[in-house]
Parts: sequence; C-alpha cells; structure tokens
Amino acid sequence: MSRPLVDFARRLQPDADATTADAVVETAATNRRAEFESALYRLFANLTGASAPSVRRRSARAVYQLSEIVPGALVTYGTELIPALDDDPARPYIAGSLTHIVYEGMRGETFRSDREALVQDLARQIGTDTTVSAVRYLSRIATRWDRIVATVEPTLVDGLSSEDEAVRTAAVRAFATMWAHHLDGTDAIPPLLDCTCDSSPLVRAHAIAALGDIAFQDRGEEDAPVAATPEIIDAGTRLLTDDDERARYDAAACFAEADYWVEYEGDRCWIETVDRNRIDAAVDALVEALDDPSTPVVRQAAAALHIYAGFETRALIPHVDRLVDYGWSVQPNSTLIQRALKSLAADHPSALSDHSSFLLDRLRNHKDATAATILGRLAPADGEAAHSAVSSLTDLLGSPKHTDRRTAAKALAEVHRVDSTLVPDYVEALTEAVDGTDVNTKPGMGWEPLATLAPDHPETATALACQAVDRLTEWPSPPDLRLVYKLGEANPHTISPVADRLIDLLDHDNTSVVGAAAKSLRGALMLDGSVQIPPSAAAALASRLDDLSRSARMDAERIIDVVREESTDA
Amino acid sequence: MSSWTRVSFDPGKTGIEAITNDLQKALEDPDTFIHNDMVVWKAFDDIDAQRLTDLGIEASRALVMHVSDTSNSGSGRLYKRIDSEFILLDAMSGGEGYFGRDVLAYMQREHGLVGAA
Repeated sequence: MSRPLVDFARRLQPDADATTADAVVETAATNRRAEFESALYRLFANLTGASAPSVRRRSARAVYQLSEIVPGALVTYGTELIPALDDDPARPYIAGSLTHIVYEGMRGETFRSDREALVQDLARQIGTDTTVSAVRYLSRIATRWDRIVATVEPTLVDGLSSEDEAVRTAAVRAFATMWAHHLDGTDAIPPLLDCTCDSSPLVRAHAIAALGDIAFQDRGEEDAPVAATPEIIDAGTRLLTDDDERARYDAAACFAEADYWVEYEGDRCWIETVDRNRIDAAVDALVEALDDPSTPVVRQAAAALHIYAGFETRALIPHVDRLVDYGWSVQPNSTLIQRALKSLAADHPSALSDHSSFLLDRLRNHKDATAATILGRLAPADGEAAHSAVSSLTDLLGSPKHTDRRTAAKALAEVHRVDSTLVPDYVEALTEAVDGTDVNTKPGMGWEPLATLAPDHPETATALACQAVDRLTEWPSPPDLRLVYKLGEANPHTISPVADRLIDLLDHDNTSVVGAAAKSLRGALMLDGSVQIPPSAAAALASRLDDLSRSARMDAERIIDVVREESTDA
Repeated sequence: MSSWTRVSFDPGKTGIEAITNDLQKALEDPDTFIHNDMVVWKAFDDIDAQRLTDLGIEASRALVMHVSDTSNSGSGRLYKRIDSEFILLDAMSGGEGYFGRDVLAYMQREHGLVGAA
C-alpha cells in the first residue's frame, strides 16, 4: 500500500510517486497555494465525513505525514482538524499532526506576528459555532513555552465557566500548562476554584495544577501573596482524597512545589498567610496520602511534607509515629521524611523523645547518620537519650565516611552545648577525627563543633581551625571556610592565628587556594576589627584578580577595598 | 551545567522484561532502570519517532524527556506505537526551574502516563 501522502501528492501532480511526493507537496504548499488548499479540504472532508473508519484513519495518516513535511502550511487549519480528535481511528494521527503544527510550524520569531494573529483570530471565534475547536486549539498552542496565548487570557477565563465540558477542559488545560508569570491569573482564580469541584476528573486535576502554579510559584519579591491562597489550600487538601489518581497526584504536587521563601511585608508565603487550622488539615491529608494506593501520589506527598518542614514543623507533631515508621521503611522518598524529622527535632526536640530508643538502636547497630543528628538535637529535651548516644557518636567520629564523621561531630556539639559534662571526651575525640590524612574530610568538620568549643576551649578550636586551613592546599577544589566567621563570632580571640594562615595563602601558587583563602577571609572581615590584613597581602591579591573565579574575585575586591579604606583612615 | 535525555517506555501489553531485553539487543550496554512499572533509558543522543521505530522496542508508548540544568527547564514529547511505528502524539515545553516536573505532571494528566521518570 502506498503512503497516504502519495495519494495526496497525486491530487497536486498525477505522476507523483513515493520518491517525489515530499517535493511535490513542499512546492505546492509554497507556490501553488490555492491548489494545495483545495486538496487539503478534500482530505479534510474524508477525515471527518467518510463513513468507513479505514478511510478516516488513512486520511488522518496523510495529515500526519503532511504535518511532518510542511507544518507551517497547516498552522491556519488547526481548527479544521480538532473535531477528528474525537474519532478513535483518526485521533493519534491528528493529535500528532497538531503537535507538529504547534511545535514545528509555529517555530521561530519570523512567524511570531502570524502566530499572534492566529491566536487573536481563535479568540474571536469564541461564542461562534467553532468555539470548541478554537479553545481546544488555543490550549494546544499553550503547551509551548510561549507567551502568545496569554494575550487572550480573558477569553480563556470565560471558557473556564462554559457549560460545555470540552471547552472547560481546554481552557483549564491552558491555565495548567502556562506559567504563573505568563498570566495575571487573578480573574481566573474563582472559576479555577470552581473547576476543582468539576464532574470531570481531568478538569479537577488541571485546575489544582493551575492554582498551585498561580499561588505558589515564580513569585518575585515585589509580588503580594495571592489573596485566595487559603481557598487554594482548601481545594488542594480536598483533592488529596479525590477518587481520581491524577487529581490526587496534582494536589500533592501542588504542595510539593510550594517551596519559595519570598517575603512580602514580613509574611512568608504561604505558611504565614494561611491560618493554622488550614495548615493542620493540609498536613493531616498529606500524611494520610502516604498510604495512597498510587506510588506516584505517595512520592509527591512525602516531598510535600519535606517542603512543609522547611517552613515550620508544628503540624507534624501529631504524626510523629507514622512519620518515623515511614521514614525508616522502604518507601518512596522516605529519606525526605527523615529530613523532615530532623527539622522537627531541631524545632520541637520533645516531639521525638518517645522514639529515642529506636533512634539509639539505629545509631548503635546501623551507624545511622539521621538518627545521630536527631539524637544530638534531642539533647535539650532528653538528656538521658543524648547521654546514651555519646559513646556511639564518638565511635562514629572514627567512621571512614567523612559525612558520618561530620554528622557525629555536629551531634556531639549539640550535646556539648546543652551539657558539656555529658561529653567529657568530646575535645579529644574531635581532635583525633580532624587530624586525619584523608583529604575528603571536610576541613574543620563544619563550623558547629568548633563554634561550640570556642568559648570554653579556645586553644583547641583555634588549633583545629588552623589544621583546616593548612589542609586547604590538599583539596582539588578547595572550599571556602565559613567556619572562620562562625568561630570568630563565638569567640573573637580564636581567629587571629587562623586569619594569619589564610593571609599567607593569598600568594599561593595554586589560584584555587588563593580564591578559597580570599573567600574565607572575606567572612572574617565581617567581624569588625578582629582581622587585620596587611597592605602587602592585599597588593599580592590584587595582582591575582584576573586569575580568580568570578565569586572569588568579588570577595578579593572587597578585601582590597577594605584594606585601602583602612590605609586611608590611618 | 548539563542536559540529559530520559526515555520512559510504557510497556503496555508487553512485559517490562521484554522491553529491557529489546533495549539490550538494540543498543550497546544501555543505561536503564525500572521506575514505576516503566523501563527508563538514559539516552545520550537525539531521540525522535524514527529513532524509536528503528530501535524496534515493542512498547506501547515512549515519553522522551529532555532536561537542561543550564536553562533550568525541561521538555517532553510523547510517542505512540501504531503498526510497529512510533508516531508523535503530544508535547510540552516546560517552564524554568521545573526540570521537567511540570511536563511529567501534564503527561500524566492528559495521557495517564503515571510514573514516568
């Protein structure tokens, strides 16, 4: 059987065959427009009018092949094709044709004005007998990363309230696939909220996805929180128990994406603009969703709870038992739940006291780093558990994994901060752990242990920090040592020797080391008067500026400026 | 700064094992994994309908996700296998910062393609 495209080409040129059909079609689409259009309409007539499914299917295949060759020539015929989407034999080919047309035929800035004219024309068809096709075509164009459809937003808003389900579906799809910053969205929110109660599960799913975008994402510092956020939270909470998997998934995904921290007039979106009862209800529903029969829904719910814990953890307290059970089971995103519990332990240590035995077991028998962190954070609420953990935490300081050593050091620092008598061997054990030869050991093991040592053991803290600086040269990509600032903040008398070593590194042969030293010193300069950099060191640094990375150069320039200002003042 | 392509094969009536075997036969040491009852192939070249057809994988559908962490975006194209040929069915260009999560959610809503990677 010949390709359907050949039949089409023969309408334009009777002797066309498989080898010439593509060229015949391309030429006609460009130079013989009237004949091309006439042939197209005969094809469309078969597509929707033929009684035999095989004919409709073959016509749809011809359209698909045309859309591969001359997608641009079909752009204005999109609405003619839309009805065939409802015909099973033709559907996949017509869906593919429309995709080619939208993604290939509308490509490039050259055709931008044509696309804009098309979109405006489609908007004008709303309210006529081609309303459904026009909105459906618009919603497909909206899947492009393109602002064009946003120009007819009011038309799409009207479509959200249409009595025709096909129109509502297409309009809500457009809102779900266009991004919050392409749309004002304000007028769409009330009908979108109505759509979350629609009889069509697809409409409900698209609606909550769109509302999640509008409420939670891509918000600049100058943007006020969306006033309807509480109602959107309610809708998301309700849809977490929807009958339809897609609606439940998008409801959970909506909460899982709600992770921006923009402040507006002191309020953090979205937690601080929504009352506690609503947050509690949403968190309750998300915890319930951890038992959803759909794994993707469970995965999103776990991610959403982790995102929530980044803002606050209060509403997790009633669910600690379930979360501990989930976090240490083989479940989707269970490590995110463990992270949420680490946040909970930091905010509300007593909430996890009942699980200290389990956590101690995890630490002792599995060297579980999450358990180590939580036990350290439990110290203010459960000194007994913290005391029981010390020996295992000290053992963990000898782990071959540098991440384990760092976690143990931080946990011991937490315990030490609460009651130094609980960890009498802390200083010695930490010194041993830092004094290794493994270059993968994070220099200084993070700032928390050293900052904790600084007030009572300044000499040890200084010595450990100096070791970290000395080891900067061992790193393939030396890190900047934020600990210098944190150490100085805890005890300003500890950092002078550390700073002297960093200053010595400013003329090191390795540019990466110079950059790391400059970045570390930049933090130390924020401690007024604690660090003095000699002009000769600043001059050496100035001579290396062009070799430094962009961020290191910015820090180096700031150091040079400070030294210059100090010299001028003197 | 990098970009990557993931092809999620929806086995349909063909089993996951058969899809994996098809891929092993068609490619030299393909990097694959199973995710939510789909076979996912970490591809390193451009994948279109013709390439999918040439591979001879007897999956019912294939979602090709291209993600870039340079532009913080992702795009997806869904292909359907009809008469041993893959044809393009739908597409979506994702927004900045979503790394394709928005595209996956869209494909799930529109096509019930739950669990693609």
